[in-house]
Amino acid sequence: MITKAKIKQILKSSPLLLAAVALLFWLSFQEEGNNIQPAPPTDDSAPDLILINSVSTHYDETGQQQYQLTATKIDHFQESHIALLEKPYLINQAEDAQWQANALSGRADLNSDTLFLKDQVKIDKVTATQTVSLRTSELTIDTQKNTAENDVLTVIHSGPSFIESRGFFTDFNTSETLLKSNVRGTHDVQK
Amino acid sequence: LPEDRNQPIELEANQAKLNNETGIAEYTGNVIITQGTAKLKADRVILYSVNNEVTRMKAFGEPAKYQQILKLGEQPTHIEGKTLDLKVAEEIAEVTGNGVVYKDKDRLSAEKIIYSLKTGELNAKKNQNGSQDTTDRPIKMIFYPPKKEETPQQESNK
Repeated sequence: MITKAKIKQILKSSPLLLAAVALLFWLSFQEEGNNIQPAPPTDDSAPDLILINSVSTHYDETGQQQYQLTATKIDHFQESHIALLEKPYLINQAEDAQWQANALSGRADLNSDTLFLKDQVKIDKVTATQTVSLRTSELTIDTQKNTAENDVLTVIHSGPSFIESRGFFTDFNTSETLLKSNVRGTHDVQK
Repeated sequence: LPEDRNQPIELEANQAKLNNETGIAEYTGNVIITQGTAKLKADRVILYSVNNEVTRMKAFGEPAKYQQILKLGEQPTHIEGKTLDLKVAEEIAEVTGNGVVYKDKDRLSAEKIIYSLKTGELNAKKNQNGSQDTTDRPIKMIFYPPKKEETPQQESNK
């Protein structure tokens, strides 16, 4: 049985997941009467909620900033329970690292709790000692399974190492990353 | 060569499993790792790093193969075996399972070989006591004495 403490522990161990979950929760919260613009009819021909240049900052119970999400535009569609994001930019402050995730576009699916980032997807994990950067064209974050995955060319830079593959899978619980195929890498010992 | 250690490490494989926190990376499927004149080919390789520095490579294959030119102008030294354990800092290669070390025509085979990549020193063992493998594989060594410089006198006697 998943207890509250367990959920908290999972969220704490995966800052990116935390940001994704919060985004999905925040969007569903927006539906309950806090619309910034009048809601159109309930078919999905038009969004029921549009946010322009939105900035939302979220704090934990101790008042510490957890993450900040900016997007030039968010369209939410009532029927399909989907939100389309333009230039989503997520900064998440975890205990030992700051996560920065951005892309040209994103799609949050409130039904399956997934967040799909697309076009120039950049994820940086910045710690006191190093930065690990991931670059790809698309990836899906599954906030239920606490994973991130794709099947396209992905490049990871970490210190003097550079490694690329076709397809990757990361489990935030174990911080293990599987590179699915065509793995090529260089480790520059001089740096 | 000594400067091999300053060259970038290039690697390729079918798949990889990385763990940033433990510094352990496992590469599987047609794994090829090169660094200067050193080249490792295996089915599976586990790379151990500390602070982004590779400290050890453990290779598994049928056999796993390693080669490196240890001195300029020399032929590459080849090391093969089911398991190759390369300790980077100590420059030691430990081979177990049908171990073979050969350079040009000189060749040594044994169940277990510990080879110093720095000095070329070699320690071979028949098979480990208590190992399942009961075939009593002897240590085999074939060395060709270097050809002597022939004096003009010896040449004219021909």
